[in-house]
Amino acid sequence: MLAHIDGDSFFASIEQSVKPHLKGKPVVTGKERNIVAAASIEAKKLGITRGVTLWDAKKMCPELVVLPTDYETVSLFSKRMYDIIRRYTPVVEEYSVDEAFADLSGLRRYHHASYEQIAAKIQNDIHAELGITVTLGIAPTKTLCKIATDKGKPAGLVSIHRSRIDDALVDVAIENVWNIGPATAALLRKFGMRTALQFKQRPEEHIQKLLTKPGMQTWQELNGMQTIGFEEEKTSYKSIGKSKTFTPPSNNKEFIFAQLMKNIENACMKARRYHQGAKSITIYLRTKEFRGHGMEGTVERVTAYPNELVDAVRTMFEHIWKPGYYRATGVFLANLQPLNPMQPTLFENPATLVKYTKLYGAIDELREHYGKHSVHLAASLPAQSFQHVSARGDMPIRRATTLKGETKRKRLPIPMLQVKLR
Amino acid sequence: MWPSPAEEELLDTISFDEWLIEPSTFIVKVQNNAMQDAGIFQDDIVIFRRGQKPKSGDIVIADVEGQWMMRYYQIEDSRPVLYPANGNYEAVRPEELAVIGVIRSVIRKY
Repeated sequence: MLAHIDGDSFFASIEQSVKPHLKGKPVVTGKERNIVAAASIEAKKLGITRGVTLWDAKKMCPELVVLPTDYETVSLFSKRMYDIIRRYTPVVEEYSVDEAFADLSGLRRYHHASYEQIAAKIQNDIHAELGITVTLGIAPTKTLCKIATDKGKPAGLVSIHRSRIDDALVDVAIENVWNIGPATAALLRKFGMRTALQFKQRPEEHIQKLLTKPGMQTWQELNGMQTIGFEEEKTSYKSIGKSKTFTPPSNNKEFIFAQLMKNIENACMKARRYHQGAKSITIYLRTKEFRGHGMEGTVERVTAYPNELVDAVRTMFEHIWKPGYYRATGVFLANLQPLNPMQPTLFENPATLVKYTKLYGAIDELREHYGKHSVHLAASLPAQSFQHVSARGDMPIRRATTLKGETKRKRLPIPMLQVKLR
Repeated sequence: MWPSPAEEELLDTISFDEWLIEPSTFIVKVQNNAMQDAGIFQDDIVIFRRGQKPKSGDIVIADVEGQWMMRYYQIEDSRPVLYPANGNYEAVRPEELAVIGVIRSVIRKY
C-alpha cells in the first residue's frame, strides 16, 4: 500500500502555525506578487482561491490577512514533514514542497498497526508537532492515492482498497485524474470516457490504440497495477531552468542583461553541484505585457562556468533584444552531461579549462562560507545590488528578524513562533 | 599509522544542533521578565517542543483566551495554574488553556 500526503493550504497554514493569532482567520500569501499564492481554509470558504488578484480578494473579504511568502519557514516545515513521514517508512518521495508519497507496504507488522492506523499516526504527528493539517490518501498505486487525497481534502484520511476501486472512481471526472492533461481528457471524452471509472473499464487494447505509454501507465495504475515507481533523491538533471521576475519592470538594457547573467550563474551553480554541465543553452526575456522572446544556442564543450557562456549569451541577447519594458528573464541549461572528466576541444588551450575548474572550485567554496553570489561576474553586478521595490511589510517577519549572530543570508534552521508574550 | 585511541571516543559525540534542535522544536523570542527568577530574561531565545504534553513543573508556552504567555505549569486540584517567576506578575488560573509547547532550552548570546 502507498500513501500520498498533501499539506492543506500549506503556505497559509504555516503562517497560521507560527502566528497562532491568525488561526481561524482568512489568510492568504503572495503579497509580494500581488496575487493569491495560497489561501487558508477560511479564505477558501469565502471563494478566495489561488491566482485571484489581491485586489479582488480584498473586495471579497475586507478583513483578509495578506502576507508575503515566507519561503524560509515553508522549506523548514517541508523538511520536517518529510522527516516525520520517514519515522514510519524509509521509502519516501519528496514530490513537491507540500506533497510526498510514501510506501507503507510490509510495515503493518513492524508498527503493529493497519495501514490506516499508520497513516493516522503520520497525520497526528504532523498536526501535533507542526500545527498544520495534511490530507492522506492510501491506495495500491500513486494515481489512486492522488484520487483518495482529493476526496479527503482538507484534513481527511481516505483509503481506497483494491476491492473497492470502482466505487472510488465512479464520480471522478477524467480530467481530474493525475497525469491526464486537458488534451488527453478531451480525447478520452470523445471516445465516451467521462469518468475515471469508464476509462479504467475499457479493454487494454482499446487504450493502447488511443494513448502513448504515460497514458497506458495511468490506465494500469487505475486498475491497481503499480507502474509509476518511487523517485529516489535526484542525483542528476536533464535540464536546469532559472528565471526571475523583477518589480517594477525595467527598460534598462544592461540591468536586464545582468538579470539574465545572474540566472546563468544560478543555473551553473546548480549544475556544478550535481557535477553536470550543459551543451545547450536557451535564454528568454518576458516583456511587461507577458510576451516572451527566446533563443537557443549550443556551446562547443560541456560547461558549467558562466565565464565561458557570457560571450554566447551576449550574442543571443543582442539578437532578441528590442527596446521596451521587461519583467523577467530566464535561462535553460539543457543537454546536460557529466562535467568530469572534461575534454578540451581541439583548438583550446587545456590550461584555460584547468583554470576555470580551479576558479569555480574556489568560488563554490567561498559561497559555502559567505553565501550565494559572494563572488560573481561583473556582468551581473547591476542585478546583484538590486532590491525589489516593495510596499512596507512585503518582507516575511522571519526574514526581517535577524537574531544575534544571524545574517540576512545565513539563519538558524528552526521555525520561529511569532507571538506577543505577556 | 596507529589508530588514535581518541577515535572511538569521538564516535559518541553529538553536535550542538542535535543537542538543541529536537524534532518539533521551535524558537520564540522572550519579550518580558515574567520568568526572570527561572533565569529567563527579555531578549533570550527559548527553544520549546511543540505538541509535547506538559507535566506539573514544566515551563510552557500557553494560550490563555487569546493571550500568549510563558509560565510555570502546575496542576492544583486537578486544574492547571500558570505561575510566573517574578513577584510583579500574578498567577493565572485559566478557564480555558491551550498549551502549545514545553520549554527545552534557553539561549542567551552575548
